[in-house]
Amino acid sequence: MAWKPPVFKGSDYIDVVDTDARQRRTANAGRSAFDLGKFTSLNLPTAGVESVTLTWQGNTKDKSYTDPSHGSVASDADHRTLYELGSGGVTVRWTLKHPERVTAVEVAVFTRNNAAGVWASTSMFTAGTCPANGMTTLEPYPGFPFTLVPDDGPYKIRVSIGYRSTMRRVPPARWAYLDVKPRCWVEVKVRDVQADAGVDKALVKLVLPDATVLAGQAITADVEGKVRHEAYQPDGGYKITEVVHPDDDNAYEVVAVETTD
Amino acid sequence: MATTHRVQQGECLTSIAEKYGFYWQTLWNHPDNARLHELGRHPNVLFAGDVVTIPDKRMTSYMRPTGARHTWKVKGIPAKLRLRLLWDDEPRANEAFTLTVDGGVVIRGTTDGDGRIDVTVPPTATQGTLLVGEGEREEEYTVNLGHLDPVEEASGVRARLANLGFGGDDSGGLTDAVRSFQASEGIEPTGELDDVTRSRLHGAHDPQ
Repeated sequence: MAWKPPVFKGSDYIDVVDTDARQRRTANAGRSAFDLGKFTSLNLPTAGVESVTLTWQGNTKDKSYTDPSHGSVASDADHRTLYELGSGGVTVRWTLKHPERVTAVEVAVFTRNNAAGVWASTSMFTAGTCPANGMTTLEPYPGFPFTLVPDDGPYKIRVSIGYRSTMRRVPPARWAYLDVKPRCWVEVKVRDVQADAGVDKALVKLVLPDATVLAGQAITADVEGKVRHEAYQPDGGYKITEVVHPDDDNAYEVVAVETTD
Repeated sequence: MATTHRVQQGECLTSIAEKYGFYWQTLWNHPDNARLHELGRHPNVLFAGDVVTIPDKRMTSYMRPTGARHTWKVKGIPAKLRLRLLWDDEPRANEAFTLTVDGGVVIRGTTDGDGRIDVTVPPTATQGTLLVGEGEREEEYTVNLGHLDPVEEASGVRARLANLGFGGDDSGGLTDAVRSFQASEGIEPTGELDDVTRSRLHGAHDPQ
């Protein structure tokens, strides 16, 4: 069984981009005499993040998103960027629509259920000086700007823009996801499975064919099709809370707690 | 004996004429109001502090038989709210809108092919709430009627630039907004408010 990146959905990420849709704007207009055909013009300029791409070793096949509530992304979705640690940096590139109206560009990296993010960089611009495209390179572990670890993946890499209050951002932000492949993972065939099921807890004992150390590694367990975990990221039903190494050299126990949400 | 009226913010000649029972043309064409012409004022756009001469009302006699009830109708001439809506400098053509005037009358319609709204409002209406577009293009405006100052005044320039999408709270002030407008018009972006810039601004903001 090969390691596969976890299934995820937009709502797994709780970072917030302020929306400026349907703002209440104030305009001063002339009250026109009935027979004097003067109009008052109200213009709404826009700017936006047009594209975001991730490139690793010349390979760009990710897609970008603008909807925070997008649906599930499958493990084998062909646009996912599967980055291998220790193989150079990941280049984030973006293009902007109407950059002359943009006053700031922020690149930020988020993990799941983390509104604060793990890293961010903001560039400020005076009127008309923001370039139409830009790039930055994320140098991974052990370097700048943060440590990429597989368990936190996929990383949400978001590019957002600042603006003047008289304009509308369409869209205000765009992002792509970066999967990080574990340095190594163990694929085992389970010889024996014992399950002690309680009301909300199951102790699953995996008897492994050799003494490979599993603790701390990515785990994929599929017990009779009922319990499935991928790299500690459950896709429903159970959550692995512990991997222990009992006395039996060939046995490892996975403590799985049933999740009710 | 003629009196004078000092213009308050939000007034225009139509609303003043309505208040005193005249047509706006009567006031505009009165010799004592020639100074408004000299200042470059427009009947739609006066400036707070301008002085408008209000002439005496002319008496008119009507002969009607006694012993019967007679009805006279006073002619009321409404004003217009005329807006041209743009999205990224392109007309917001054929988009649905809802305009609520002074929190009461609701006018629903669709912009024309040039993004224009041309609706009738009371001459003394002071505010409209305009909701236009749908989905991502939905936008809401609070429109202060009669509050647009003449383009000769700094406040009039600032309001026109803001209506056209130049400037804003964090834009660096009027000079930057003027510079951005000049660049968009192909004028040398000096940030100076010269006659050419003022004229182009007036033309862009106040089309016929």
